[in-house]
Amino acid sequence: MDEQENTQARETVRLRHPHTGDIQEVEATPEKLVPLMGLGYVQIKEVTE
Amino acid sequence: MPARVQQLIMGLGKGKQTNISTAGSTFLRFKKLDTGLTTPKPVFENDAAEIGKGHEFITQTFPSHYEIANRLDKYASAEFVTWAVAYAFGNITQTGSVAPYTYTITPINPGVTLELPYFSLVEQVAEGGGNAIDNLYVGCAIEDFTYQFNYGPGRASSKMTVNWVGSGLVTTPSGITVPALATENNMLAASMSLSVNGVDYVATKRILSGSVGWKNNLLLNAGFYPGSGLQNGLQVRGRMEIGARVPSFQFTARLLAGSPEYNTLVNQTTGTATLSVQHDANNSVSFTFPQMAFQVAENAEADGIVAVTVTGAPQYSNSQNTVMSATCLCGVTGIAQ
Repeated sequence: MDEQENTQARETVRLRHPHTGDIQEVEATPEKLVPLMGLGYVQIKEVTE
Repeated sequence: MPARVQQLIMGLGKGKQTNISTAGSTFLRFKKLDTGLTTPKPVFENDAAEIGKGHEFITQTFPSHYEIANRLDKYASAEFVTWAVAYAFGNITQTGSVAPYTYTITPINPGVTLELPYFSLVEQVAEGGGNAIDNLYVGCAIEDFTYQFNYGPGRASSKMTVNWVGSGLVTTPSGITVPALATENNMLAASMSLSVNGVDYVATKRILSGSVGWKNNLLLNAGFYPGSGLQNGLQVRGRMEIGARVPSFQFTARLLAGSPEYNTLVNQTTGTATLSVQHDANNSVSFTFPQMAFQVAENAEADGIVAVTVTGAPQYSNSQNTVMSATCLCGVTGIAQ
């Protein structure tokens, strides 16, 4: 198997809870995102100027 | 010179508004199936029922409020379903730096907010060198959506209906230049995969039709609060909050010996229900109910074939912290962002 494929970084997403301010960085998969989004965590928009 | 209804140019707000009263600036232009044109309806009260006038007739009218609402009936494209689910659920995570973009969407948590993202909607109908209709509806929210699938050929096998409500704010003329029609990637029911409580209804060729729905039951009267605002002397809504939301799931499948639906109902077995449709690998929608029980399983027939119609009872999952979620892939970036 391609070594490069194995080491390729998976996309992650930063989520923040609007009330507690807690920040979580998780893999960009529904399995990881949905439980946090269900609790009210929202995506942090990365500003790339 | 009259205008034909096919001349309707409709733009749905792509990016969410910053608040209910500030119009969005980006739009997606879609076709639709229904011929319903939106009307800004000013509502007036009168004094017919009041006593002391000497008669039962109207002597005076009073401005009350604006009512704006309409329906969008469309073939289910990845782009439109993504738009509808994003604004109907309200909590959206968009990932991917190039197309296709992935939208993971869950219903908003009422412990955080009761307000969905608001969008703008523009309708224009050209006539006689001008516009017979040119309205920008500001501060709109989705009341409900229904995704329907059926056996049979063509785009009609997979449709999406949305009911939306406006705050009452309308700008005429709109001042909006609506972009070219969005390229839509329709998702035929023939592409479907459906798994309910461990049963693959596509592999067994049993599934016939069904629907997935979501209703926000928006608290529309509460939007007219003291200080909510006026337009032409009529009240407009300053907020539209979610009420008691209702997810729904129903399907009809051919009934075979050993079909598990009745036992699943009687035993109140729960499991995951996942319905996915796609145009191709880059354009797809997947609805997931993490914990589905059955509420009704009724024997039926379709084209003379014995079938069973199941009404699901989606349950809140304490592990997923939601009752329902959706994952959508499409080539449009910035929906409800």
